Amino acid sequence: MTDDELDERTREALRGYRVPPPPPLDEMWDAIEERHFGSPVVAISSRTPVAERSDRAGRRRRLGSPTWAIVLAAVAASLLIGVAVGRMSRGVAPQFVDGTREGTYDYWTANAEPYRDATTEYLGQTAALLTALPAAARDGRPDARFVGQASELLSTTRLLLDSPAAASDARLKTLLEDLELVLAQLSRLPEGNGGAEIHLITEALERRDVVPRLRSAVVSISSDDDN
Amino acid sequence: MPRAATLRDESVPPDERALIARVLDGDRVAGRQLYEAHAPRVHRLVYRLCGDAELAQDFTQDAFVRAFDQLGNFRGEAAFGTWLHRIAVTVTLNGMRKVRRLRERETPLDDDPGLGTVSHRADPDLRSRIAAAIDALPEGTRLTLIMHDIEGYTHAEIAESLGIAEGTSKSRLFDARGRLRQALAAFVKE
Repeated sequence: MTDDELDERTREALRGYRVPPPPPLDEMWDAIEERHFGSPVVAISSRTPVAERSDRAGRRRRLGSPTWAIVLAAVAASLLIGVAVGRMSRGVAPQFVDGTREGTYDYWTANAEPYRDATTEYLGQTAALLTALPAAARDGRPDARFVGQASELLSTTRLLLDSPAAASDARLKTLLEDLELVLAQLSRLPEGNGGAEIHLITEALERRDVVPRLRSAVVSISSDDDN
Repeated sequence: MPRAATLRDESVPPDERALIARVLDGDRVAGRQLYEAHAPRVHRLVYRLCGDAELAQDFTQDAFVRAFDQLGNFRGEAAFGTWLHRIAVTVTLNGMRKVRRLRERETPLDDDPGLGTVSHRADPDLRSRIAAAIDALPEGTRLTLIMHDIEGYTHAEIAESLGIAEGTSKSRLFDARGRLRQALAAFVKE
């Protein structure tokens, strides 16, 4: 074996030295967040107990601005009325459909018509916003309307997270939690100077397949509507 | 005013400086962004150093928690990533020493210098031979070789991360390569 061959084989072998597995980013972040910031307020994993999340969501709402309080109250009222109407018209509480947890957005196969329209509309608007993100990243200057829309959608996300739909459908809940994080980041973008942050958010979106999952959810929920 | 406002301008990009300032104000979303920007590279290095998935996870977490806790002391003399890597390397090396001491206490006859790696002596192929040779290097030399030849850090980055002179990093790398060639020369003769 020549020196060059030996060097080449050495380099190749070095590359194979303790090849790292994919980093468990979410799991590590949960621990870091807990240890440094205290109990998480914005979590992207689905391991947070529902009751705890409701408490935290309540705290967040209490801290909101008066303008958003009005918007939140309006959305909350429509969701609550929707739930009430749905339950009264069906006469039963929302059911979780066993055996379909992996393949469908389960809650929509039960009694959730009042939520369906609001959720489908919300998911469609969020998909449109996130699809527009790369263009905003190129400009590096998110405008006030973009950021405002993200804030509005963030409020709706949090309401949906506290709804029975999220509590009954693990996939929807995970998706909403991911969207909550993304929208929270977008709603805090500084006007005219968020290029790097948008780039980071875009990367995170791609890594977690958020937009494809969003589209899949819209299709799944809409097709349940057709059945 | 956030403490990070005292950061020097030349080493930390403005966006990262803004993120750091937000983390200092308790903004966990900014913390997550800072984490996502650096965690994959930190985790890769930590894993290469310790060779154990669980330990790599623990050490990476410890490094970030320590970095966030000490963020108020970060003045921007070096890039944030370099500062973070220095913490990660320190956490990892200290952690490995503790684990090694525990393992030695539990299994005094175990003389394998690696953590979470199998003994390579019975496996004569080149990769195993090189892995064994790397494991047998002195700590600083091994660290420099992993950072430079495997993870692609520059000598300047290594020097800042390990708190050594660039010349020391270069001589350690020269030493590491020499030792590897010795190990491989014996292998080629076989």
